[in-house]
Amino acid sequence: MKSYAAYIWPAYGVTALMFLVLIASSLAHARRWRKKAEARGQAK
Amino acid sequence: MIPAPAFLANPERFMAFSRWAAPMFGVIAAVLALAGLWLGFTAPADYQQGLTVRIMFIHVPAAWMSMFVYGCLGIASLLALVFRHVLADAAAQAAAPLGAGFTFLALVTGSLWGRPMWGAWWVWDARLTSVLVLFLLYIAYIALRASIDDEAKAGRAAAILALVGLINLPIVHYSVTWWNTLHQGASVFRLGGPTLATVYLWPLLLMSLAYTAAFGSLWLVRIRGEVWRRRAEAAALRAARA
Repeated sequence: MKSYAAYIWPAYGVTALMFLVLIASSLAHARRWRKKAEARGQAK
Repeated sequence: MIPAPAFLANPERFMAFSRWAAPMFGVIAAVLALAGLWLGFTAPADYQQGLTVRIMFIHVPAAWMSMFVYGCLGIASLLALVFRHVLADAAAQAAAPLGAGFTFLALVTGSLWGRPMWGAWWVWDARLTSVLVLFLLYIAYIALRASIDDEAKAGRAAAILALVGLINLPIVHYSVTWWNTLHQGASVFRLGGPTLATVYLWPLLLMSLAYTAAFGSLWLVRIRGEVWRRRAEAAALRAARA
């Protein structure tokens, strides 16, 4: 039986990469604006 | 305990709730994903698909999430339009990049499954085409918001686009029954119960719950970021006028 590794691993790779991008961009966006809000006395 | 949506309409209560709920959903997502991946990679090869069945465990949840997130975007847009609620508008804005990400994953992983199984990376059948339209709707929503400087006008225009785009959701869902498609029909949520073997059903359900929890976590983080952005920009505007 074929392993189809050439299709399976890229599928998992692109999924892992997308999750990393979404996690990193979400956290970076929140942190950046929290700092700016704190600097302007608006973060609670 | 998860509070009712009306309770969270208050930004202060939302920020207090999301502070602990976002990491909690993140931990739940990680645990579910680990369990789902373990079951998925120990499941036997399918008699027809072989080991490409493993792509299903990441493709199907991404496809479900692409529609679920658009539903959330549509509801948030409706609430933002009707009640002009800042949090609803922030929720809609925060959902769009996540939905685009899930839809992109559904398209790419589907293509990586289609090549060995169908012999083609892409076919213009109703399911694939309607999901591509869904992806373009997300991109159009993001682009429209970014193209208008006035935040309120941008929010209203994007909300109307999101509501018009809702018509695509039943088209995506029923495309495999309304038209003759290469894409297979429903095998989990169908009358008469799932046709999927239990050994594949469990990893699929665990991964779907993991994707849902991950979306919950990331959505809350992004909404929090939007709240802080709007507060910071409002404070900067007040300072500039003073």
